[in-house]
Amino acid sequence: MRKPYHSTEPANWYMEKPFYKRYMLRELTCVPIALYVLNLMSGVVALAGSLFDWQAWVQMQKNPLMLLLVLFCLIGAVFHTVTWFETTPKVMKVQQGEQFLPEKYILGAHWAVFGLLALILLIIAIACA
Amino acid sequence: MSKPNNLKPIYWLLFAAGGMIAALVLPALIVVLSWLLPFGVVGSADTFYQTVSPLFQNGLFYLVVVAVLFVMLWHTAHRFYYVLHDLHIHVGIKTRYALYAFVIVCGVWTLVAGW
Repeated sequence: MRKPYHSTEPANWYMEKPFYKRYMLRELTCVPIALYVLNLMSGVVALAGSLFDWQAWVQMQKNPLMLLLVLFCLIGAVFHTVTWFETTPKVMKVQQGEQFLPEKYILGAHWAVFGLLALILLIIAIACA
Repeated sequence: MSKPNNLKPIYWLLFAAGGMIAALVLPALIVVLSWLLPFGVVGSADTFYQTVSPLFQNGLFYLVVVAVLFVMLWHTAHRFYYVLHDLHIHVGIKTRYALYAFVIVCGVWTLVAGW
């Protein structure tokens, strides 16, 4: 007989401490990200399709409900970036002799790449639009 | 005895790739594509289409774009499975596969619809 383990902790254990709450929010950023990726998938299909398809997608972005949804997605995406970068120094340890490279350098490198990619994206958009 | 799941490293690899790409580019992508471009802040959305669309009609480029979107969505499916666990919602392996299947369906749809 299979006897699955059931935790004796209450199901809302994550409400106990701010640290747990932040963890749960961090994990839940995956939901707004998925919503935006679905929007992006339809956008990419439109961009590969006709001008009419693309105009419809652009028009959809201006819908007030869509603006609200995208704002929610952006907040989720930014919190994902902050928390994902926070874990990188713990996951990617860079050894230098007896010491490890200080965490701030690894964190800083990720933010530098983030800024660079944002700048490149902006330049591409301005150049193409 | 249950069989070890040999695909687990692949699930986690796709999760890590998707999470990293999302962390690096998604906020900027959201602002540029959903706000700056539709409201004409960076130029005309129609001109953007004229310039960029031929690139998206290139098979290899489109495949890479879809792959990037696929891994980002995979990151969600994978993470969401563990969120359910953390919320004490007891789901089995079938739910896990259903989440992954949803990602595959979305990826294939994007690929086929835009090809």
